[in-house]
Amino acid sequence: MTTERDSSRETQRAAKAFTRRTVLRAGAAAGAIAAAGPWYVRNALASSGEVRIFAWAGYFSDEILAQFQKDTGIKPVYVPFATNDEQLNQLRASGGEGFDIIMPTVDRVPNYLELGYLQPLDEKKVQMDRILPSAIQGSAETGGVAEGRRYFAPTHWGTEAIAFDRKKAPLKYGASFGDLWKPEYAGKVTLRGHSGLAGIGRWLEAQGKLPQPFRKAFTDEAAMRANWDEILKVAIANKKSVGQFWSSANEALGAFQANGCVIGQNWDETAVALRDQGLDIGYIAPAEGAFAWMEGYCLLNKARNVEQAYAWINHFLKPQVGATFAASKGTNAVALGAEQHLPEKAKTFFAEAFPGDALQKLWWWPVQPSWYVSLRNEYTDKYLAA
Amino acid sequence: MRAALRHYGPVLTAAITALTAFWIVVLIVLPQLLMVDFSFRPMLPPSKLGGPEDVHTLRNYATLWGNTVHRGIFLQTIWASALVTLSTLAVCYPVAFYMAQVAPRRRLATLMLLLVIPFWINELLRTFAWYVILAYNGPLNAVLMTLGLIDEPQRWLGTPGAVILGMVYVYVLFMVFPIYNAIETLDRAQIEAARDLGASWPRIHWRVVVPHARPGIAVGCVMTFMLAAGSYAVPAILGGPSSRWFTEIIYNWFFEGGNWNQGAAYAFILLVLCVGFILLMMRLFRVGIGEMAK
Repeated sequence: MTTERDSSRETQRAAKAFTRRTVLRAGAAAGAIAAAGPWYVRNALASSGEVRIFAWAGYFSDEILAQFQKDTGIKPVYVPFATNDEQLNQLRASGGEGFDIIMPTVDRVPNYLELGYLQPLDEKKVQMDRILPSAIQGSAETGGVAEGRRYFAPTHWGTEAIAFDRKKAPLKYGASFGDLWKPEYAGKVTLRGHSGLAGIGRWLEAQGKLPQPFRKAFTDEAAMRANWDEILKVAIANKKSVGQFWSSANEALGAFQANGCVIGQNWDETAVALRDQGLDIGYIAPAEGAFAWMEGYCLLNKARNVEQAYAWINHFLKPQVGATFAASKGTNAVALGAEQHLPEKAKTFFAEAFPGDALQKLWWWPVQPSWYVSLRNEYTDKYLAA
Repeated sequence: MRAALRHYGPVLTAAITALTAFWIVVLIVLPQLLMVDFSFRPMLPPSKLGGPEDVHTLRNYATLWGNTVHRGIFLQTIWASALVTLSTLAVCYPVAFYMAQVAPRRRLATLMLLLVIPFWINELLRTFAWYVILAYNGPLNAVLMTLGLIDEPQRWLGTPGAVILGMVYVYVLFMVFPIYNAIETLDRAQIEAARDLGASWPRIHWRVVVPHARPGIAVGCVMTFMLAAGSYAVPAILGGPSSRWFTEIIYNWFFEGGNWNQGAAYAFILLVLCVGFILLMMRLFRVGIGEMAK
């Protein structure tokens, strides 16, 4: 009898204890364990047949990833980011760990070197002979090589120029970054805060209205302040023309698709994506010369899958793969012979964007040291808030 | 504690205490302490960490008072969050009153369901739905143009109004339920008595319903205000340069400016001033924490 009563008391106690809160707490504990899990599991998975890539959002379609896996047998894990600075700061949060390969623009490579996150590339393992010699040399001069060692393997280059609605804002070659501020486009312009300021800077420089050469701003803080004070004045005076600011590729698309913008300082990628969606959008280099950037792969110091990482880099140096990848973004592969694999659409886009002497006038972003980036951020802040 | 022991037995009590302690210490206190420590140090490259320059300083806090742009955005965020709270209250009070005192039981269930269903969808998706509605080429402009109310499309996105509207929509439930709970406990006889004695409807609400529902209103307002002041997604999606939120500045320090220490200082200021603002409001409206916990 007593045992029976005891047992029933036990049952009651258990039943009382099993409340919604217990379940919630147990759930929370399970969650905590699940969150802690990857720290341990990560070691167990090291040097498996995978490669972890931290790269720009929208770069690698499922087909591109599947193709790589089919060709090499290595499983690619692709994690996207939206801006150069997001990439840098995500890596700072993890202490430069968690990925094998990252994808900065070449002018930002010194930021990573300063933090000690990169390992030099073995030039015997990267198939350098498949890369355009001009891209090898260009990337070496703009931050990809330090103290005689190469940290950056280029894959493609692209531009930031003027995207325009062919009907509502028809432009011809010879148009300038300054055309954005014509009264007829008031309220219908899109641009990115910091590079928009740089665009205004190069427009002012072409008219001889800057106190210092624009390029000097990248090496000399006083020159930067002198120039950017001037730029900020002009930018703020024209700010009401801006319909929408963009900071990621998605926002740039939204400006034309949903927000009624007809002209903007944009990436080639944006113009191509809009074209593919059936919008009548053109893209043209301005008279001052388009901003040009080069992107490629860097190998992290703490990479766990080094051999697989080299396989990834070399995969994009195959002419056909390079061409397919670049054409989908409207950018240009650095793999030798890629031009033979370009679809007709991509050739037309390129020819229309860079008529006449536009290619000679390309303006490559100089190295952007970290003091420049924070000062640039300060000016962007003032511009946006004005 | 003794009650818990008797209730749950030693093993379960220990487990519950340990889990709660883990939750509070590891997930709340330590990260906050780390952030506060961060906020008092200058930003240095890794080579200089632990060196002579790595000292505690107030410089990161001084930045906010020196930077007129950020100070302006901070005040604007507090002001706009208060507006969001007031608008949400204005929308939710009638709904809650109707649900608690007027609606017949069966209709109440339907109403609850209607209120809750949108919240089964992720907050981001609901905000994107507003992005689509308010877009320059979007349905709102199309409807207004068809009705002849406007001649050409207006730019709604990027205005403070769009952000406030988006937030009111997202936070409605956090306001409705506390107020509903409070009004539900009001004896209807009190309302009827007031009416019998000749009080007008506004007077009944002002003298009978609102005083009774005050703790619920306070809880709803505090939650809405905190959520609004700390919101990132809504201003990022629906806002523009003229409606920048302080959280966006904090994000910018971390992810664009790369100055985490500065970002941590800003985050801490936001936390402290929000808590201060709420305590002040509770004082003004004479609501105690104990009353709210009920």
